[in-house]
Amino acid sequence: MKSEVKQAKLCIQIEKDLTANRVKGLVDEAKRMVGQIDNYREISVDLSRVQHIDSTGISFIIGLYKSACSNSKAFKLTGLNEDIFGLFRLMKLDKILEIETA
Amino acid sequence: MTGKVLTFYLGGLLFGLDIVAVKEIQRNIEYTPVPDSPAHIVGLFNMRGQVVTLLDLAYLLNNGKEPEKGRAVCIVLKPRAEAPEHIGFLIDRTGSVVDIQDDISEGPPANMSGELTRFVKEVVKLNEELLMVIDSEVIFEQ
Amino acid sequence: MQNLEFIKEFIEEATVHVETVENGLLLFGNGTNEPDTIHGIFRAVHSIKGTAGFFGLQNIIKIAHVMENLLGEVRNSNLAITNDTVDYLLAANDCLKEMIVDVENSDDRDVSVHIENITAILENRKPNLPNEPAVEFVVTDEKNQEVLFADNEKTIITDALKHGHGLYKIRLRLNENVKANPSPVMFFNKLSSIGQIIDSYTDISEVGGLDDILNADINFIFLFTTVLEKNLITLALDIPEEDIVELDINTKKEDLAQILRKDLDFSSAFQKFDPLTEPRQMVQSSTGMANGVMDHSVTTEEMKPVNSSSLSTPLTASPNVDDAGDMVKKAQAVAVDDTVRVHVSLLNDLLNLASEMVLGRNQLLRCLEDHRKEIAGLNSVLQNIDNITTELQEKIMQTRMQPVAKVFNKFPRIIRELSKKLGKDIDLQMEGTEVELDKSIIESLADPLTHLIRNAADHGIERPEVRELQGKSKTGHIFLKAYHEGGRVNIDIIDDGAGIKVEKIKAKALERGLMRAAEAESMSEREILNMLFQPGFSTAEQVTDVSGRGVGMDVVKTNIEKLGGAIDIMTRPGQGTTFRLALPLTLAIIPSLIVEVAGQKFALPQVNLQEMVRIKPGDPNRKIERFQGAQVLRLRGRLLPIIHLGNVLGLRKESLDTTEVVRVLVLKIGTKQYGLAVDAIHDGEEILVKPLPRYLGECPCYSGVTILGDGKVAMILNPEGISGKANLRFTEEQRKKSAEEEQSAIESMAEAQNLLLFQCSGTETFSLDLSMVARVEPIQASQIERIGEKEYIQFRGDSLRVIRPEQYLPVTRREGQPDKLYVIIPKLVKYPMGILIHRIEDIIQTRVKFNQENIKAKGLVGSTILHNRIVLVINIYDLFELAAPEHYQIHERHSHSGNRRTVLLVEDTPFFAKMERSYLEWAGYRVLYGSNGKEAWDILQNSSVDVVVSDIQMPVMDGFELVKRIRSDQRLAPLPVIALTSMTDERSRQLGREAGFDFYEVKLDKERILDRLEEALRLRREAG
Repeated sequence: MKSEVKQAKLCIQIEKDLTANRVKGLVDEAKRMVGQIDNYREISVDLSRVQHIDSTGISFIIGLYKSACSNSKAFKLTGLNEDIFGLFRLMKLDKILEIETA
Repeated sequence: MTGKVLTFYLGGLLFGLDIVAVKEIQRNIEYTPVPDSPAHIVGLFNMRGQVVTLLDLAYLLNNGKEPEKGRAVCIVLKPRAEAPEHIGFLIDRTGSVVDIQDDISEGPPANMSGELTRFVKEVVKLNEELLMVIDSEVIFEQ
Repeated sequence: MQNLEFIKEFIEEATVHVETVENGLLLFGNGTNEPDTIHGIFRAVHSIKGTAGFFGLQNIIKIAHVMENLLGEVRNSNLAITNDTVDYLLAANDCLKEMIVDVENSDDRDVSVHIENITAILENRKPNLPNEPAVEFVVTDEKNQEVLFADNEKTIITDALKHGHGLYKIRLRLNENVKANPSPVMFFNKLSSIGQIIDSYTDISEVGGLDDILNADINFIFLFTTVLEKNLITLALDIPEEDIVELDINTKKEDLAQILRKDLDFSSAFQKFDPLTEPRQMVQSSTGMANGVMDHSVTTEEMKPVNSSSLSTPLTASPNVDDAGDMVKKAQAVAVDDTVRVHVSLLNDLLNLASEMVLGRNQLLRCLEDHRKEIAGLNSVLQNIDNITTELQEKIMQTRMQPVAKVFNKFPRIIRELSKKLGKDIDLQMEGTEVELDKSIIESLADPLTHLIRNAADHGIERPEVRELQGKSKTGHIFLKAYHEGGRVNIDIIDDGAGIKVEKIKAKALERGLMRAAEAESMSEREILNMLFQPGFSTAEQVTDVSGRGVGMDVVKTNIEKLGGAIDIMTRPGQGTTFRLALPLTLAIIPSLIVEVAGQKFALPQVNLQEMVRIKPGDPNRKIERFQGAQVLRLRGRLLPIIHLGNVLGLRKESLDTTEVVRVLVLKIGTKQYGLAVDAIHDGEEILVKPLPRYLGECPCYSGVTILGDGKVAMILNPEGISGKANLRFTEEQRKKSAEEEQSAIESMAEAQNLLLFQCSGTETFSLDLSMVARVEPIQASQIERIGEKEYIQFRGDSLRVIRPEQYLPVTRREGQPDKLYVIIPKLVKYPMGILIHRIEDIIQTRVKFNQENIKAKGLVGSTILHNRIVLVINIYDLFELAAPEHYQIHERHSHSGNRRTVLLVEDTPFFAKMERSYLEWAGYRVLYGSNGKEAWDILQNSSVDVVVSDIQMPVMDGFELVKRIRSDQRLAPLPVIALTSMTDERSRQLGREAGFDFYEVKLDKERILDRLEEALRLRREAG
């Protein structure tokens, strides 16, 4: 997981899949990134390298979103592949999260 | 045919029935006549809670003689899969079970009379007499 | 694939479906193009696809899918069906059929040719409609939380329901339920392979932030339609059953959205929506999420890609299929099904054997009766076998029971369609769907009930604007309710509509010539309502295609009565109508009367039996007359055609011999009535109906066969068939007459009695007039104490002797008794004893008509027919005398007290008349009889009478009027007149004495009345 802040935007790049095993290792790092609240106004999560996502992965995204909300930051997802976008749409998560389509 | 045949007497003649088609023999049955039913129906009787329709085989074979009165012995046929109701017919008395081979049986003779040919599948040449093997399928068609 | 049981079920079901498809397609081949046919085919194919999807049977799914697409286009009139199309479809269906027979190898077949053929037809069609329906939005109204579905969503629901799909609300816990699957994407693919998501909502409130994500879960709540039953969904999706809620398919679409969101209300994180909060902030709270969904418009289009993609490329991922198998295995271990499927024929065999066993038991008991005392321990063994056998039979009967839900469940749909069609707003509520009835009754109930429901919707419920004008809610309500009552099951169909206008029925009946104006005047409201059941009666102002389809209420009534049931109407103008069906629990066993002709016994269903008439030779009042070669009986002023069963069945040649006693059964089929003469009448018997063996061919005189208590087969008579066979032709006039006759017979008996119906150990039903019953107490068998030959119970601190009627009456008796019994405590008797009974059947108000052919025995007043069965009316005084002769010896002094003097008995209730007459005659009086004051007065003019015994409450002329007339007549004034009444208060006595009665006594106190008679006669003599 890489992150950088540019133009008041916290860009988080998720590498490889977002599944239960991997999410466990990402949580602390994510908390650290998101915790620097003064650096940014918006979180943008790039999922373009994510092939698969499981339920814990979805929880992770929601968790990130909730953190953004509680810090009054905007939140955006980018680079979803077709499967994942379909899933988010089916779950109507696209009504909750801002999703930038390619 | 080759196999076991149950023989019985009806109207003085010896008949046989493939043992595979026979469910059981019932003796001393008390049957209930069914008024206003077809002539070949003798009546109904209760076999362990099952209602068995009794046919008058003698009448169907048109051999003229009525079965001996008084001792109602009847052969109950195995019901066919598509029609689970039981049927049976009265006989005078049972004979024995004989083993028959193809070489001692042949089709009914060309000059055999009327109704009999419909029911008789083949004739078996036993030592003392001729045995007429009845086609149980034809009985079910009644 | 491993689950054989389910596969077997699928094969059975699918075999039926492919046949439906084939037959339907053949109809098209013949040029028919009925919408019903195409719907039927479509549904069948759809069901095959749905279930095959569950098992991952790729080839079957593929073919069914293209067939469904094609049929869908035909159904929507986008494609005309040609012979070629039919041929291709038939070929595809044949392929389906073969694959279904050999499911295991179905996926090895090459089905591409069928798919190509059908796809080609589909592609060649010219699209006459835009391919994509216009995108519509779900509209949300925050205030009342009412969500309106887009039209295409409605279509999904309506379509799904039409196909017999269930509608479910499923709550999915993403982490918990989806974990086992490779990925949520896979899971949702599986989901759409078995059904369709109508609406959904994701509840993320549990996840508060990054800290929670490993333990908090995301709830995905969705409305789902599928062909699968609930238990199969749990298997297919591995979701616990409690998270799946089956929704009433009648649920209004508007309510569905609310149902979906109800979960939110339970969720702790949910806070009430505050309209003042700024929208942006809301999104940041969990509450906002909910509203986020509602604020934004969701289109079904968004869900479609998932569905259609998974359908056109069905479940190609092999892990998924393996998964389905695994899942079934796993689920099987978890949810052990505690039911077993058994073929009905096996149940019928069991039922047969059980009734055989009952017979065997009876024979055993008879054989060993004399040895009970000799062989130690035999008694308890016999009793045990007795009880077990009875229980066994009952339990087996129970296996044939099915819940009425089986019939009820189709009504929500019918009502939905009807409301649309009729432009009415109708709400259907159902209660007691779990109530069980015999399978055969359930099956025969569908048509009559559907008719009544349609009627209620069509004729009962008013149009919304009419309802509003009358201050009713716009929505009409129909309430369908099943419940137990007195050993029967009642089904009420209640509507809150316009009610039935008696005047309208009257007018219609007059117009149709179903009755005469004069009769109409004297008919009670209830009698007029019953005209509804006359053949050819319809109250709808215009015949609609909904209910006025030639199937009249008479058919409903006949069908219900065929089942041994009864139908009743209650209505209130402007408030609604209730139809009540009273049904027996089981059909297989019916009460019958055993009759004999030419030495052979036959069973006659009591349902058709009206009364029994015994005609003595030389009786001037009742004789069979020969008329134009036919024999007729004058019965209550009408000519009743008489036929002899022996003649009809060809058992006898000679015609009815009127020089001997002739026994005639008066039978009634609908409005037709005739007398069937038989040689002898035996007891009533409850018989188990078996179908007529098909080898008998057409035998119209019989409706079935049964095995009697003696183990012999007996034919069950069919009164309808017999009348046909005997060439009885009934004219309209005769039918009308018979209806009139029945009414006048009822009218002539004004005073109804309340009867307590009960059973003792045997099969007979007894009755006792409630006026003689002080109370009925339940007791435990253990409370009965035996002293010598007599039995006692403790009752109100005293010991009360109890008697069992079957010990003194010529009726059947069975050993053994239930743990719980009842004691009838009588009143109006001098030496009270309790009557021990096994079961209370009912309390009914009725007008008793005694049968002429009486079951003559001391202790019985006679027999009557109630609820289509013979009921023995107990003479409590005789019974007590039989049980305790010591108390009644004193009576002997009365035995000749009458001394041939003449009593005029005036009593309108036949029951009391019969009892009073019996003891007056016993005491040696000559009895003249009048059924009311007027009749008595006429008798007094012509006959010499020594004393009058009269009831007070009577129609036409009551007792007060009668006695006043007697007292004011010079010749009759000194005549002693005794009032017999059930009104025993001092005020009534006072009135009675003022009116001129010599004595005022309570009915049925035999000894006292005889004493009073003597006293009255003596006083008058002395005075004279």
